[in-house]
Amino acid sequence: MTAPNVTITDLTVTFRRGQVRALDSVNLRLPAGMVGLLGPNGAGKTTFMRVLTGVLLPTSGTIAVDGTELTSRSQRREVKATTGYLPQELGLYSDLTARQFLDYMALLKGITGRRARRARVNEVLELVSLSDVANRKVKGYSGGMKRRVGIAQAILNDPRLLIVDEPTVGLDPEERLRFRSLLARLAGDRTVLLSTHIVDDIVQTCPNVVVIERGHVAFQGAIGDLATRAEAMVWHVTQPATAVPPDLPTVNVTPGMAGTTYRVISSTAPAPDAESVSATVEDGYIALMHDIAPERASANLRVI
Amino acid sequence: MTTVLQRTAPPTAARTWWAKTVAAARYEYLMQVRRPAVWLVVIGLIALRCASLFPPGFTSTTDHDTLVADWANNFIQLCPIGVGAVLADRARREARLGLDDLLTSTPTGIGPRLWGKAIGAGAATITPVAVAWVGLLGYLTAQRGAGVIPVGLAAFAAIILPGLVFISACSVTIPYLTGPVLYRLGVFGYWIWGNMVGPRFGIPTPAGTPFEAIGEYPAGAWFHGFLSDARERGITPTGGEAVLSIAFLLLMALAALVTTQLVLTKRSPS
Repeated sequence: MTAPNVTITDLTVTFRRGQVRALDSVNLRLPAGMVGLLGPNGAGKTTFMRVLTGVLLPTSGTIAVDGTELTSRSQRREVKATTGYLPQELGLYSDLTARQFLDYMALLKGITGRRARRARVNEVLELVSLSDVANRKVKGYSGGMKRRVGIAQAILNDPRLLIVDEPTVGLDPEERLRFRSLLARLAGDRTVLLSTHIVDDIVQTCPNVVVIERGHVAFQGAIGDLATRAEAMVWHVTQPATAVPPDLPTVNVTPGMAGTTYRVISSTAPAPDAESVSATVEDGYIALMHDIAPERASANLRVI
Repeated sequence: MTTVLQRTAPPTAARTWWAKTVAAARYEYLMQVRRPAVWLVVIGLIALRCASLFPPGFTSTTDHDTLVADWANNFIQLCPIGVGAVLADRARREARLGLDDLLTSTPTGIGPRLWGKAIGAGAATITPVAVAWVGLLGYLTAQRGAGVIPVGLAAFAAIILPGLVFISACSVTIPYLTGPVLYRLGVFGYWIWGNMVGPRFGIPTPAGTPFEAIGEYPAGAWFHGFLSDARERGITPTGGEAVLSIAFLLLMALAALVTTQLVLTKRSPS
C-alpha cells in the first residue's frame, strides 16, 4: 500500500445560500505521512474534513484521490472504501459492545466475509488495546475508550487516507499521548490528516502542517517553516504584575518573582528591555493568526 | 497500545447489498429487542385489550378457526399503537446519537441501513406480540389439542402480521418527516379513526373496508371470525377481498420504504 495522491482544487463550500463561505478556493496537495490541520474554532477545518470524506458536497471545486474525483456517487463510494474517518462529534451505538459495533462498521465498509471481518475486528481491537473489554457495552466506556473505538472503526478498512478530527479533545494527558503515538504509528505508509487546535499535538507528530483561517489556507508547509515565520518577532516582556498587559498577541503569560513575563509577538521590540527569544511553532501560528507573518500562503497549487 | 497493525491479506472487498442489509437488520434487532419499553408497551396493550375479551363468550366456541381468529382480533386491536410508538424514535436515531457523519463516510448507501432498520427493528418490536401469541397457542393447545397450532400460526400470519408490518414500515419512515412525538400522536389518531371508528359514527373511515389494518377481512373470510365494521357496511368478506386487504397493507409498507429510500438517497451524498 502507498499513500494516496490527494489533490484539492479551488474548493469552495458555502452555507445559507452563499451567505457563509466556510471554505473559499482552497488549493492543496496532501503529502504522505502525518499532516496537521491547524486553525481556530470556526476556521473551516471540520468542513474541509467532511468534504474530504464525502460526507458533505462542495459548492464548487474538486477533490481527487489518485485521480478519482469525488463528483459522482459511485466515485465517492470508491474513495470512501479506502478512507477512514474519525469525526469530531463521535457517536456510537451505546447498546452494542465494541466488538458488535466494529463488526457492523466493518460490514458497512464492505468487509462482508465473516472470517475476514472477525479477524480484522480482533486486529484493530488489539491495536487500540480494547481486546479485554471488547464484549462490554460501549455505554460503560470512558471518553478515551470511546475515542479508541472511534479510531478502531476508522482503520477497519485499512485506509490509505485516514482523517481524524479533534481526536484528543477531552482526553487526559496520558490518554492523549497514547493516542498521538498510535496515530503516528498508523501514518507509516498512508496519509493521516490530523485536525486539532492543540498545537503541541501537531508539533509532536506531524512533519507537515496546513493552517486554515476563515476558510482560506493561511499556511502550508513543513512544521519547522511555521516556526520560522515568527523568527525575530518573539519577545519576552517582563513587567509588574499590576501593570496593564501589553496590547500585543500574547502566546503565554508566566508569573514570577520579578513580575509577570509575557511572551508576545511583535515585528519591533515592544519595550526597551524586551528580550528577543527564538520562535516556536506556537509562536509562528499565533503570528500567522494575527496577520503579523510576512506573507500569507499563496493560493496557487503546490506540494507541501 | 503496543502492537502495530499487521497487514496480511486485504479485507474482502465484495460489497453485497444483502449482506449489509442483513447485518444492519441483525444489529437493529439486537438494539431494539433489548429495550424494556418495547416489551412493556406492546405486552401491556395486548393485556389491556385482553382484560375484557370481545366478542363475549367466544372462548367457549368449539371451532378452532373462530377461536384463534377472535383471539387474533383481540391482539391486533391496540398493540399496533404501541408498536408504532416504540418504533418512532428509530428513524432519526443516528442523527440524535451523532452517528450520521460516521455512517455517511462509509461506502454503503442509505438503502441497506434503512431496510435493515425496518426489518430488524420492526421484527424486534413484533417479537413481544409473537411471544405472547406463542404463549396463547401453548395454552390453547393444552386445552384443545395440537390442532390449534397450524390454525393459530396461519391466523397470526394473515390477521395480525400484515397490520404490524404496515405500522412498522410507517413508523421507521414517516418520523423522518414528522419527528417521533408528532408521529406517535398521529399513529394513535389514525389507528382509532381508521380501524375502530366504524360507519356507525357517520364519518369517512377505512374501517370495515379492505383498507383497514386490523385484519377483519382475512379473519372473516378464512377463519369465520367476528365481523364488526364490515358487517355494519353489510359486507361478508370473500377470499379475494382478504387477499386484497393483505396486499394493500404490504404494498403500502413497501411504498413507504421505497419512497423514503429515494428521498434520503437524494438528500445524502453517500
